Amino acid sequence: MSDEPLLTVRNLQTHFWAGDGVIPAVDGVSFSIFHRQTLAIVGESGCGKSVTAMSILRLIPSPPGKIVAGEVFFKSQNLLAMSEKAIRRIRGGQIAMIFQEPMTSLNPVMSIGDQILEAIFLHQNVSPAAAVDIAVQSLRDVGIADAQRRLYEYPHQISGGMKQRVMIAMALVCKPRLLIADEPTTALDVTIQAQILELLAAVKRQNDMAVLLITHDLGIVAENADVVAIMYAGRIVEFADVYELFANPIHPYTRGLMACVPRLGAPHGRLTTIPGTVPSPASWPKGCRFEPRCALCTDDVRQRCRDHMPQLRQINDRHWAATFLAPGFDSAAATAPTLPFRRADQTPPGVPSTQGAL
Amino acid sequence: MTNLTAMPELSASAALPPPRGYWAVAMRKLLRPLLVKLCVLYIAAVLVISVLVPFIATGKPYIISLHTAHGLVTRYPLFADLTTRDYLTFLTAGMLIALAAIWRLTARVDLLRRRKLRWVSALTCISATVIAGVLVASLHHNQFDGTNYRHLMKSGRATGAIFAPIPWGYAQMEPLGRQAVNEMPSWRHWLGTDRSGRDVLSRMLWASRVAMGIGFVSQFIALSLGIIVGALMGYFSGVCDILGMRIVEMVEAIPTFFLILTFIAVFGRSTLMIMIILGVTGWTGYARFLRAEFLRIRQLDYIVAARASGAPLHSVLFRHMLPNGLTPVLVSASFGLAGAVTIESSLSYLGIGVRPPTPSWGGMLNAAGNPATVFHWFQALPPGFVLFLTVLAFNLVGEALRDAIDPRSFS
Repeated sequence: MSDEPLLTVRNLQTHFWAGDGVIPAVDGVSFSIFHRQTLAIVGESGCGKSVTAMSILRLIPSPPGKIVAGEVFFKSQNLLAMSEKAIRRIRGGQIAMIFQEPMTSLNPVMSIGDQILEAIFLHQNVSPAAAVDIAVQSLRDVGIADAQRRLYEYPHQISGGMKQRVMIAMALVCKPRLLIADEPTTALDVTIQAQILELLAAVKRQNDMAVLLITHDLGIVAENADVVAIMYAGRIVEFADVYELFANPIHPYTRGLMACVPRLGAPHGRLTTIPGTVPSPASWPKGCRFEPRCALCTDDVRQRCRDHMPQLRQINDRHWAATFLAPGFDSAAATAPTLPFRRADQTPPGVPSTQGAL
Repeated sequence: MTNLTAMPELSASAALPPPRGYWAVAMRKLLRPLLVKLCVLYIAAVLVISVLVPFIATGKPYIISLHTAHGLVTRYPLFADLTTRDYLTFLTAGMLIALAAIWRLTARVDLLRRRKLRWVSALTCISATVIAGVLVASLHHNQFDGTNYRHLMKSGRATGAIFAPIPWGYAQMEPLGRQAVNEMPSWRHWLGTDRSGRDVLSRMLWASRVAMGIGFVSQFIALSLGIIVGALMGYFSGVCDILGMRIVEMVEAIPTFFLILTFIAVFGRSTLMIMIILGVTGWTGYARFLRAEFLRIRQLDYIVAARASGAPLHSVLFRHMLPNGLTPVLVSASFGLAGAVTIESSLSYLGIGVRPPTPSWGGMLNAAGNPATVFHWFQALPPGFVLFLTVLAFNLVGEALRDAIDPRSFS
C-alpha cells in the first residue's frame, strides 16, 4: 500500500506582522498526508496548528500574515506558487475545509440552499436542477432529515450540530480529495461531538478522502487518527502513527499532554497539568522551545537544550521526535516525516481502548 | 428553464411558506413600533407625491372640451403639458417599483431559478428604462401652454373639465386685476398665496420633488462610492487601507457647503450639480463604516469558509460580506438623507439653491419673510413644518433601523 503522498508540506513558515514585531506562527513545518489517511495535528491554542491549515489553502489574511517560505505540494502542484485562479479551483474542489465554530461558519443572510448551491456551481458544471438534487443528496448524506425543506431555511433556524452537518455537507459537495477539519467538534457538546466524529469517519470512508484533523483532544486523536503530529510553538515536535505514539510517547510535551488526560478509574486527586504557559513568540528561547516548561529535562542535557534547537529527527521507522532526550537522537537522520500508515490496514497492536477522555 | 414536475418534492415544499431570512426578520422588527410605521408612511407619502405631483397640483385639467369653429374638441392639457423631467421621473420611479416587485415576486421561486430570474428581469427592466429615457429625452419637447382653462370655463368657451385636486400650478399666478398676493388661507387657496400670488400648497407639494430628488440621488451617489471604497479598504487592508483612508481624510477636509457656493458662483445654479457635489463629498462616512465592518467580517468563519470553498473575490465581497456589513451603512444613509434635505433647504433659503420659479421648502421659507419688514406666517409654517417632519422621519427611521438590525437583538 505504499503510494505517493496526496499532500506534502515542506518547511512551511507563516509569519504575522504585529506592530513592530514578527510573529513566526508556523516556523518550519513539514509533513505528508496519503490518500485515505487521517492525520491529526495536535497542540494547544496558539501553537500554529490552525495557521498551518489555513496556509495550505493560502487563506492567511494578508496583511498581517504572510507565508514566507515553504512548499505545499498537492498532487505534484505547488499550491503556494500557483495563481489565484488556479488555487480557487483547488479550494472547495480538491481540498475542502470545515471550521471550529458552526455558529459562525454559515452566512447568516443566505439560505442554506443558496450556500450549498454556490459551492456546487463554483466547481461543477451542472444544470440547476441537477445542482438541487446534489444539494439535497449531500444534506441527506450527512443525516439531515427533510433536506428539501432545509434548503430554504436560514442558519439561525437550525441547531449547532445541524449547522456543523450542513458545513460538512457543503465541504463534501464537490467530492474533495482532502478535508481539513479545524477543530470540528470543539464548540459542540459531547453527544453531538461523537455524532459528528462518526459522521466524519463515515463520509471519509464513502468518499475515499484524506482528512487533516486539527484538534487538541487526545481522545479524538486516539479514536480517529492514523498518524499524529504534535505541534508546539510553531513546530512539529513529534510525529508518529497513532499506535506508536500512544504506546511510546517520546517528547516531554507529548508525555505531558498524555499525563493531563484524566482517566476513568484513576485514583482521585488533582488533575495533572503542564506547568507554565506557552511562551509568547517574542520571547521564544534560542534552544528548545519547550525547555522552560520541561519536567523531564535532566541537568546533563539542560545546557544543550538551552543552546540548541533540536530538529525533528527520525528515531525509528514509525517515529519522529524533536528532543535531545530521544533515544538515539544524535545518530538519527533529520528527515521530513512521512508515514503511509492507515489503521484500517492492520490490526491494532493492543492499544488500550480506554485511551483518551471519552 | 427547469422542469418543476421533474422535482415533485421541491414543488411540494414550495407550498409551505418560505422561511424568513435575516432581512425579512429585520424589516418586521423595524416596522413594529407605531411611530416608525408612521414615519415610514410619511416618507412613502412624500415620495409618492414628489413623483405624482404633476397630476395632483396643476392648473391644467385632465380633460376639457373646447368650443371651436369645428365644434366640440376634447383636449387633455395636463398630459400634453408633462415635461421631459416628469417623464424621466415616472420612468425612474416605475423602474424602482418594478425592481422591488421582481425581488418580492421571485422570493417564492425556488432557489435555482430565482438567481437567474432576478438577474435577467432586473437587467431587462433597467435597460428598458434607460432606452425609454433616452427616447423621451431626445423626442419629447416641452410644451408651453399659457392657456387659462379656468377662464375658458368661466366664459363658457369650454365644458366638461376635470381639474386636479389642487388646481394650481407651482408657477401659476392669479390673473392680473385680481390682487391675490400674500392672501390668507381660503377655500380658493387652502394655504394662501405667496407674494407673487402663487398657491402655497401647490408650491409646497412641488418642492417635495426637489428635496427628495436631491436627497436620494446624492445619497445614491455617495453610497455607491462609499461602498466600493470602503469594501476595498476593509477587505484588502494594508497599503490599500492606508491610501484609502488618506483619500477619505482629504475629501472630509472639503467644506461641502462652501464648495457648492463656489461652484454656483462659477457655473451658475444647477440642481444636478448640487446632487453630484453632495454625493461626491458625502461618501466618506459610508466608506469608514463599511471599512470597519469589513475588517471585522473578513475574519469571521463564514467568510473564510466562502473563500475556502473557492468563491471568487467579487462573490466574497459583494455576495457574502456586503449584505452582512451593510447595516450600519444603511443607518447612516438614513441620517445622510436628512442631511442632504437640510443642505438643499439651506441653499435655497440663501437664494442659491434651485432656480426660480421651481419651488423648494427653503426658498419658500425665505420668501415668507422677504422683504424683511413683513412676515407671512402662513407662508412659512407649512414648508417649515414639512421640512421638519421629513428630517425627523428620516432620523427616526434611521434610529429604529439601528435597533432593528442589531444582531444582538436577534434570537
